[in-house]
Amino acid sequence: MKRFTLKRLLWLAKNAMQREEGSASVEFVVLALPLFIPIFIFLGQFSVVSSHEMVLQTLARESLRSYIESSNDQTGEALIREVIEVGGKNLGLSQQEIAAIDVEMKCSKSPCHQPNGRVRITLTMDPSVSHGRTIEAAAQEYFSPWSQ
Amino acid sequence: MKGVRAVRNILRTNPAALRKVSLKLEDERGSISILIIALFLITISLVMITANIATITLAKRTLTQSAESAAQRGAHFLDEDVYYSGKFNVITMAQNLFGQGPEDPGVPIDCQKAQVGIAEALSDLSKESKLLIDKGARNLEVAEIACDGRGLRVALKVEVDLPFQLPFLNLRSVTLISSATTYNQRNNGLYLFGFRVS
Repeated sequence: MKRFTLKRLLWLAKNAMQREEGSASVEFVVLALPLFIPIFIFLGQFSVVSSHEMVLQTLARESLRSYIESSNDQTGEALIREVIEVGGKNLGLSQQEIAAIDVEMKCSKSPCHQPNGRVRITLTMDPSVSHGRTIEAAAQEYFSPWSQ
Repeated sequence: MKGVRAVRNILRTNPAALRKVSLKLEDERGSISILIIALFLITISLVMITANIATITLAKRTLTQSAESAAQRGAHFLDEDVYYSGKFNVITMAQNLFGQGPEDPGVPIDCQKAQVGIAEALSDLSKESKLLIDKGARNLEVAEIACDGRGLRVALKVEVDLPFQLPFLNLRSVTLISSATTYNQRNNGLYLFGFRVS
């Protein structure tokens, strides 16, 4: 019984090796999957990272504009957070992604709201929500010499 | 040509070899591999081109924002002499009552001071060019500053290195130019002693 099964199995294997049916599918699976799947994964990650970078650029610019137009540092900072919350939501970021945005401000004068003062804002998105890549966007503006 | 002739002679003299070759040509095994590899190379090239385009797009956006920021800085410098000439007085008030008052000439910009302001802003930008312009961007310079005393246009130029350099495209970097125009607008309202009342 055992001998017969082995013999039969060998025959089946030999027969299968000689037949060409399904060889195209095997070739496709063996070659295409390892080659194309990494590309698709890369494309997916690339599109997410690019989109996040664009959104952060917009948010950096708009939040800085709101800061410049605000009356003092405290309201300015609150406005920046507001712009990131509302703007980020409108631009398609999830609540988790919005929460992962870190804001860093650099002013040439202290307090920031002074005529001719320079303000630089840097938004950084945590790598945990952007496929392990830190995304940064920055913007720079000046207060008007006529601002009070 | 000689090689082809030699192969032809071998095949003519050796029918077994001819049969083997014709069988090999009829055999379809491995045909999918060639197709897939060709497709893979095309896909890789397209992905590289896409990445390059995305880099250029991001750099262009950042450059436009930087040009806008520099232009706004330039527009902060008012030409005070022109601004305070033809001030509002009793005559213009009377003219206004009859609807014949002078039109708002706009807020004048001191073009020389604006140029200095723009240069300062750009110097700050290039110090932080890694973040403010873009990674891989270099040689940030002013392509044009056009000022007519009311409006100001700033054009910035930067060279961006492409992340993937494809041999058949022969393109290592791209020069981007972005411009922004700005002007000042009077904030209409009732001001008394420099303070807005309404």
